[in-house]
Amino acid sequence: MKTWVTRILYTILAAYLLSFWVEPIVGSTTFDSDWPFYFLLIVPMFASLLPWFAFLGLSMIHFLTILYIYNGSVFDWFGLWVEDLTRVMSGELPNEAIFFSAMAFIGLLFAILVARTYPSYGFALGMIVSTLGVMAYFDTWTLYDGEGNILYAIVASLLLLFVTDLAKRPSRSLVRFVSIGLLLSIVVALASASPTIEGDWSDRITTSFRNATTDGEGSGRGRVGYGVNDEALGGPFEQDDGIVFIARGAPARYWRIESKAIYTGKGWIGAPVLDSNYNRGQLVDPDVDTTPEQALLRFERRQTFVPYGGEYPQATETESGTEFRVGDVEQTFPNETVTIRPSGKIVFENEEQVTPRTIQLRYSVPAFSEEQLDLNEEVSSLTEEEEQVYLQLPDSLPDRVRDLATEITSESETPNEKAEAVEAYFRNGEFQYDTENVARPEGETDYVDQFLFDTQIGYCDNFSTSAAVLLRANGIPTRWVKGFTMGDTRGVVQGEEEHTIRNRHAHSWVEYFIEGAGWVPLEATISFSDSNLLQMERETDTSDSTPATNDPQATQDNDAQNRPQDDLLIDDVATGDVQEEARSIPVWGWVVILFLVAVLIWNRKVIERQAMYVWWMSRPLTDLSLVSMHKYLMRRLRANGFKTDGRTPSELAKEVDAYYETNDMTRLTALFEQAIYAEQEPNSKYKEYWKIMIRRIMS
Amino acid sequence: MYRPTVQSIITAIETVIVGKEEVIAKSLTALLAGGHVLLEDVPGVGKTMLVRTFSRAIDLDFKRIQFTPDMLPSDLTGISMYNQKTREFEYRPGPLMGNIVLADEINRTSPKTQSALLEAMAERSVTVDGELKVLPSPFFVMATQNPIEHEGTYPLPEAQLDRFLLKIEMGYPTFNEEMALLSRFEKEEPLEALHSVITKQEVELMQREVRDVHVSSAVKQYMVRLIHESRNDPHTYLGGSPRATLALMKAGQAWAYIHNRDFVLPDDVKAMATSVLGHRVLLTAEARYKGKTPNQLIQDWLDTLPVPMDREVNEV
Repeated sequence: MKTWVTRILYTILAAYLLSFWVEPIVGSTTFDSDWPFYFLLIVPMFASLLPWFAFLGLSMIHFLTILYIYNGSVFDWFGLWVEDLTRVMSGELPNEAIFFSAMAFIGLLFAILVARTYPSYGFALGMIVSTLGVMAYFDTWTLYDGEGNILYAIVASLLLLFVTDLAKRPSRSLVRFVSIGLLLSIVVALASASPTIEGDWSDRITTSFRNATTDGEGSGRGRVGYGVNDEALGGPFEQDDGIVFIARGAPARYWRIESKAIYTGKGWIGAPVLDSNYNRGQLVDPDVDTTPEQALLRFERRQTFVPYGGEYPQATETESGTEFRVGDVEQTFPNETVTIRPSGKIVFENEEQVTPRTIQLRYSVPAFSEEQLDLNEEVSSLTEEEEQVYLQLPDSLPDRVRDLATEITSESETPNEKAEAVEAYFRNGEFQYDTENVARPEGETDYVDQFLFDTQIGYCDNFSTSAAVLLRANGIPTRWVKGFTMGDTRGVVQGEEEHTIRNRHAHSWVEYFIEGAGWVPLEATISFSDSNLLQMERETDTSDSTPATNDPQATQDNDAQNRPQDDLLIDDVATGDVQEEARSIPVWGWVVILFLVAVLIWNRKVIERQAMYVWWMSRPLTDLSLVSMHKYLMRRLRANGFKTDGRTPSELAKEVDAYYETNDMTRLTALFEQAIYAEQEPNSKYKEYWKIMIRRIMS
Repeated sequence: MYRPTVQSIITAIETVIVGKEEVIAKSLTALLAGGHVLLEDVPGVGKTMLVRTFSRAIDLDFKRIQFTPDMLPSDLTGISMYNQKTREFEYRPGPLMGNIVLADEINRTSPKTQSALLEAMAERSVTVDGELKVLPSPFFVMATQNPIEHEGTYPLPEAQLDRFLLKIEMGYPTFNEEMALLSRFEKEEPLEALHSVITKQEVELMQREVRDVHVSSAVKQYMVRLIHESRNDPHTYLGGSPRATLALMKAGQAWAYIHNRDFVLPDDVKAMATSVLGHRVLLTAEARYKGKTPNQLIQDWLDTLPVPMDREVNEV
């Protein structure tokens, strides 16, 4: 192949690999657009094909153009850079300038490297390792999901290695064409086969949530995730590991999205527009202590909801930095209206009702005191209309449900005690948590009735709906809440906890109303603990622990619960330990595999050498093994261009020693001759010299 | 490199002979292997001088026979003469009755006399008047032959040549050697000053020791393969005989011995191959026409023949 063709291919492949950096890097920032970064990183690489002065000129022009586009000025970038640097030093996210200069520098660096080192195995390998490293890093620690791209990156890596090889040694091409083809097909075949072999290696991650939102629980087999339609609950569902969002900065807690008020006998439908304070950004009574908390949410894709960790968010900050208040919907985005629905659902009133990719949330987390929970007053804060809605029960509800409700709470006085009794009822051992063998109510069958009396097998929807119905039957205003559990703990990033919330963390629970306290959450689903849901202020606790933090007491409580066998696992937070996410192993796996392949290709000699060491050094030196060792040595020497045929061992030794400027081969040969031609016992020193020679030859 | 005794002989000889270390070593090899040497080269390169020096350094009985066309076998072996005093036939030993016999210009005498010499070389005894006379030990013939003069010569038949263990070519000295030669012989006669460094008994002992030099199966294999190669090569009309194989082994042993080793290396075989086979291989007319020489062919075989590196023998 012509030199320039390989060179262009080499550059293209290197540029392609570098382009994999853009998405994760940009994705972890607040930038909205990727293309300037592609431009910054990739253009210099192609410019490197030109003569050096043209390359330098073009790089400068390109750099300045980018700066101009983004800063509106070519000259003040340095000032911005310094400003940014101070900002980064003080622990904030980098802003544009520093980011641009860093990117431009990386682009330029790689361009220079690719131009100066072409063709270089070292550069190609470094390129591959760093690209996969970047992908793996961002895959593990950020929302970026490299699993879709990793295959392309690996194929590109192999091709890059191949092109490098081609450029280095233009001969013997057919064998290499065949072998690279083989290797590529093996990789692709492995990649496509893997998800079916190991179900967990799913690439469903990126696609599933869309299914979940449209699927509802209408018919057939549902899929776990947040959905809008809850009119027909029941039936088994499939697990889904797709990431919904990543929350940084907040401790493990439940993420509320909305509540529903009307129970139909089959499921839930939304509430009509209501009017009390509790529908205007207030979940709890003003007397309840709240702790402000903030979290940075990064969505895998734009969503139609904003989850929040406590009360309704008071203020959110988005990528453009604009503040707005949601509570009483007083201010909006400059371009978008953000409303909070009576259900508590926060909606961006744009065309598709989608959120930005990143949202900085501020909300307060209520912590109820025991007195507040024990209040037993007439409900007066809710409007009559609201009260009706929150006490609504369908006429079709069988009487035995109401009877059961009365029976369960017969010994309870306050709403809180009744709620606790209901919660305890589900934990009496008769109920079973399962996502597979869950019935769907047919015909006239009531969803709650079927669960409470017939099946007693179900998941969160069964438990929460039943709890809501039981509480309502006891006259306690109750609503059904949807959201997510705390998700998987990813670890601590820049001193802040990060949690990954996936589709399978979709959850439902209930909120019941206590006059003087507000809406108190209740976790009815067995094998789930409400320690992350309900913050209790413990007056006996002298250490004044802020309720918002992960209460060790509560987590122990959680630990004591019997664990769910299936989804909605919360054991990630059980110990409060930071655990690395198991989900990312496939990407790391790919990196390791590719790295091994590269090492194998590169250091085939080293590996072979080590294998030979291990093999020969471990066995006793007999004349037979000595002959084999010597023959192997001869083979290696032949591979290094020494002619061995017709050479006596000592002639060869002289040549080899003259070449390597040593006398090791002569010494080795003397021992060999002793063993073979004098037919004496092999001298164990032979091994030593052999090892020295092999290292020399195969280095 | 050399065995100390060998080294001392070589050093002694080199006080007279300038350069020619390889020739000296090979001659010694032939002596220790119990073989004989055919020195072949143009006149005046020091063949005779070498042999004389040799005999002096080793304290051996030196005899010289200048071959002429009219020489008879009895001129070599000696004759029985009637002693009038004792009234008995008395054996008068001929020039063969020495330890080192210089057979100068062996191709100048008739085949009859040649064969008498060669028979004596092989048998190490002569028969005079029906009486077996055993030749002294060690018995070492160094025959010289002039390869360029053919007028009035009787070239040695191939079968006879086979009796020489080695054929050694002297070659001209190098420039420096010849300069050294001039200054050495300018004023004095170094040969006169040469004293023997080794006794006859020691030589006999060394000859016995040579036989103890170990020849591994690998090396034997190598030798046999080489001889087979000489027989199978399309350029050869006549390859090495089994006697050649034996000669190769003996030469190899002695070569290894003088190099202070008690086992034979393939290198020894290589070193001896041309000297042992050079006069035993006959080329086809076609090969000669192409300008090939036996030495070239032997070198080709050595360059291509794989050297056995196994202990066990692989049949070919």
